[in-house]
Amino acid sequence: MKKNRSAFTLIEVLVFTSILSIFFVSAASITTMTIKQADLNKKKVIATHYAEELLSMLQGEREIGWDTFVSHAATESKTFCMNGEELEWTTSVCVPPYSLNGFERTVTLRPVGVPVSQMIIKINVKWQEGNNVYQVPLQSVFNLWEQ
Amino acid sequence: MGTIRKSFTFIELVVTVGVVAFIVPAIFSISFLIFRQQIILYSFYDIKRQGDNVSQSIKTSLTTNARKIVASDLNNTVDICPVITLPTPTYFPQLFVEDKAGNNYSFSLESNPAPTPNRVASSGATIKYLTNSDVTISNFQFTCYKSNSNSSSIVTAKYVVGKNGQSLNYRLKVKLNTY
Repeated sequence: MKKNRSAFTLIEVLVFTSILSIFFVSAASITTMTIKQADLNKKKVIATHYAEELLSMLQGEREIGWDTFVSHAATESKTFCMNGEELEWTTSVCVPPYSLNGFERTVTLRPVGVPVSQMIIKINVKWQEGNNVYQVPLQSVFNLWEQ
Repeated sequence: MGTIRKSFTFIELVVTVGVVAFIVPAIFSISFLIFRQQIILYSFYDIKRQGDNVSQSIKTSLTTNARKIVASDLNNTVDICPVITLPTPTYFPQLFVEDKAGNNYSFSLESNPAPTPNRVASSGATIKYLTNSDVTISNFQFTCYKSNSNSSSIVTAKYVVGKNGQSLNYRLKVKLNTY
């Protein structure tokens, strides 16, 4: 005697499996993206802090003495690596790179006027994630009359 | 008359339970990871907000209101910042300041009442807290010097703000605007 058993067809199983796999792949990619974005935001906060910290230190240096401050870039635009705890006016390239807890902090001073009456400050904090390099720039202008 | 009952087989149930047992912990661990990342992120937001507030308050106070840095006594008027050209910082934990009106106030870490974590306090006639108990402040230190006897004091402050195992170092240098 022939037994009549009801079951899913191959098409039904394939459709269900496809929908389920699409759901899981989407969930996995959204999860990965969320985690990466949170990590990126965290690093942006830290990079912004490093940039503002350097700007604060430069403002302190400017307040102590304008002439000493502008002497670091009296005639032409110069870039300095500022990965250390103190201001170091010696190296333009950070060696080793990313030595500030995984970040690299540089400042470019561009003098304006002779004698220098204005200094354009460009701070750049960058870090690397895989093949991508992210950066947080910060720009400010110091004037002699601000002292 | 007998009824025909349709139900899952044992194998179907085992497979279903096995799949659920595999997926649920995975979902929980991923959710926990995202949750943890968000906690770290918000910790940094709070650390930065409160650290910046301390930095800005100290800087504004010293540049606009301070006349000199005095010894560790609210009634002392002796300027303690040494004259040195190349400062070798000796840090002290509390900064006593004489303001332009001749009143003394200080910046220090306070933990009152006792179980409260250290908070940055500006103490004068009244105590004003610059941070709340959500963050911990450590290594709160000051030093000062002058480039010559007639110049204004230069104050360096440094401290670490932390929360949930994360922390940011702060360092600022301010020249008093007094002489």
